[in-house]
Amino acid sequence: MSKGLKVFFMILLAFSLIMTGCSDSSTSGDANEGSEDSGDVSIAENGDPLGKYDPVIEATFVRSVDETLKLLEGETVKDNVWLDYYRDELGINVKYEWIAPVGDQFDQKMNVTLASGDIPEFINVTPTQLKQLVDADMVMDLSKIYEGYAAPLTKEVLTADGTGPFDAATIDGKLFGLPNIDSSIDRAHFIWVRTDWLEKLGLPEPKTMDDVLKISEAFAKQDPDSNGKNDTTGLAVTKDLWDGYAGLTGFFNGYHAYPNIWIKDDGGKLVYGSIQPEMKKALKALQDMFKDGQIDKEFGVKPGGKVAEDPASGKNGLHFGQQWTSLWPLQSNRDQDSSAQWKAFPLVSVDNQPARPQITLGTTSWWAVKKGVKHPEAIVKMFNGFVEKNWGETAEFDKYYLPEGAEGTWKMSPPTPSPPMKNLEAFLSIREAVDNGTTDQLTGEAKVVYDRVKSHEDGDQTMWGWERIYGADGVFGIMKEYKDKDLFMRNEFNGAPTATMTQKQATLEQLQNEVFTKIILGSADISTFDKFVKDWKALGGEQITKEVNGWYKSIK
Amino acid sequence: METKGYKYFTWFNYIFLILLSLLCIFPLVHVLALSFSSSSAASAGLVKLWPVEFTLSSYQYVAAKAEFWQSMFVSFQRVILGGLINFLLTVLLAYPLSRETKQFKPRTFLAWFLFMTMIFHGGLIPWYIVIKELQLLDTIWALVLPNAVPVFNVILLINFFRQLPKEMDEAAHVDGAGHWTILWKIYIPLSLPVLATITLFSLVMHWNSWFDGLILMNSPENYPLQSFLQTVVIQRDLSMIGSSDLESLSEISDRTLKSAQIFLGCLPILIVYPFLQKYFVKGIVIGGVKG
Repeated sequence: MSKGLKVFFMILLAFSLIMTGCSDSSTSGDANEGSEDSGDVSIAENGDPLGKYDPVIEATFVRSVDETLKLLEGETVKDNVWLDYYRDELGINVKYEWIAPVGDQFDQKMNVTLASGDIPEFINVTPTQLKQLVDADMVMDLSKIYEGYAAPLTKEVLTADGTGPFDAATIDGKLFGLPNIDSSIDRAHFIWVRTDWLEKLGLPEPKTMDDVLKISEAFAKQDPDSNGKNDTTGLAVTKDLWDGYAGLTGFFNGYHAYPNIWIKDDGGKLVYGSIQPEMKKALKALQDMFKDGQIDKEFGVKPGGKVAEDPASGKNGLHFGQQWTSLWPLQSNRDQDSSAQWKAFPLVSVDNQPARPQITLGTTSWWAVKKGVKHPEAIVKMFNGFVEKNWGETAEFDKYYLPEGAEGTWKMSPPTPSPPMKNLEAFLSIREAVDNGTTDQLTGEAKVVYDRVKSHEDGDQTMWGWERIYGADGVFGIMKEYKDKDLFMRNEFNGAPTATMTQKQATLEQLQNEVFTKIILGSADISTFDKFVKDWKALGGEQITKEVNGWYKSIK
Repeated sequence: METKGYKYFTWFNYIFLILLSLLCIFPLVHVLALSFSSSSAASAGLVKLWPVEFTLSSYQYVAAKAEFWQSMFVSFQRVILGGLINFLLTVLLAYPLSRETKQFKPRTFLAWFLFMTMIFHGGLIPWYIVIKELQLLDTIWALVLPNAVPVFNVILLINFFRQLPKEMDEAAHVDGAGHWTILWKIYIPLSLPVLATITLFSLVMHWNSWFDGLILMNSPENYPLQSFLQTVVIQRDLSMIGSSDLESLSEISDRTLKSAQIFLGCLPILIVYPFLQKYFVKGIVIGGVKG
């Protein structure tokens, strides 16, 4: 984002704060009516999770769309199998107040909508936005509605990722948002290595951090692409440092450092991972690698999309990343050079303690309901419907999730809570079926994925990326190992952003990333880290730590 | 009178300006080259100023993409409608304001009133609420009416009108011409350079603005071209990709498609510019300096 845009956003946010304050007073009449209405709601605290409204009720939403959507012939965002289902089976007529493309555009439009106080009945928000809405008294307490209307399967799915997803939307003991749950474990990092280069240079597979450093050095200096030119880099790094592709999270985890998350210290208190002494060692190692020419000299200005050109053109063979990097950008490397082979390895450690991959909450948005809505439980019913039609007993996966010839049909449902372990489970059922020779009995997502893996085994190179994830030595094999050994290092703080966090977090993050980048570039000495720790605490970190620990005590 | 120093200066000037213009042209050429290259060459960063593995596939893709043409249509609608309204209001405002205060009493007040809007802005949210309450959201008028009076252009035109010799309209007046006749028969024909300039300004403004389209339109079908293009070129935030978005990952590297759309997006302005450019310098200098 350019500087101008950033300034603009700050102004926008400032305005939105003022405006939510103003609109509060102007709509207080409505709000009062609303609380009376929600009194009515308590009459129907228990109900049929999939009961149909008669007559059909109207529910307003806003939504995002993305470029990659491919719907079946005749379907549109406003008229499709999901909206038909909600209308015909549940009696809920979904109406969109506006639609915007996913990303920046959606966020901007959303900010304006929130600021103008004219929100739809059901709204999908981030924790920060939820907090704003709660402070402005615009959304209602959903605790009872959830208890009364959620189907058993829905509860099972929503609680499968621990209490984190609910903690984040609980303010003063009231549940204000239903988690649009998504996988946390899928965010763990791995080491992706180009194995045909390993073989060429006679290097072992990475077992320790030392091996990784050696691989990086060899890939940078021993001309792995044999073109006689010194044009390869060791470790790929993006300017944003924490990306899912070529981020550094996995590298730090190898040094038992956990940047950006809250971890428990020996005394049982929560501390911020980025300021722990373990970070220093890892930063020093990166600084040495940079000095040695193993990291792209220009990494400080290259976003992920630009860094991705290196592996694609065969100039890089090592990065830390999530399970999907074989689909992008590594698939482009395979397209260009069919002899290129990549493999994911578990994170490695500097000592004899195992490296623990850190994960944050995969759920990034929550469904809130505007005060005064007649049928707030409609959203819970839609949750029930979505889970039931995709993973329940009456599931019609081929109709609702991924119909043949379409892509992203499941996204046409406004709420999209997905079982957090579904990808791992798909992998496990594929492997089991392959071992038992029962692949023809696979159903649902596992079948779709298996067909892709199979078509790669039959020679389709464009499906290579899928085979690297779900194949016999695919990433999810390692994911299972992570899970079985209980290695995940979870972010212990899942609450709504605290007061100081809302004010200072962005500044502190920027400070952190600047200092880390400077240290890696060598323009700041490693001792700058100590100064950063002091600055971090002084600039609000100390206060945030207090607030976070206050929250931690409150949920125990 | 070409001294040696003058000669050196001229040479230096030429070289400097040529470099400067190359600097402006290179990105465009690069985008053009990308749009004609194969997608794998583009994602590997092999394309510089000449297409690698020449192909027309991006243009075929864009040609079949309904959203692109739909938003192109919206943009044309906006430019024509908005351009006309801008032109009319600018001329009709500039003429009375170019009179003396004696002839037109509220002149000073109106001039200040207009000037204020150039400095102060209500802010995004009030602006949004006003347009929403006027029921303009999601219509083409939301893109056209809030920009109906381009104040800067009005000021340019006032200044141009004021430097035309007063004797002419006095003479016309004596011959029995009213204000309408003077405006259409004398002022307009005499002001072609500046009119071309302000028309160009307002066309470019309407063609290029994307933010209002984004905020004021409620569905992507109604986006003008630039808002649509913005959605195409913005880089996805890679730290936020969830496991459920795996299918969309394969689309990230479509830089050739982006380039083709960007290039087609600037084509109309590229075509219009040369025709209006000859008036451009003259118009803005005369209008601006003799205030």
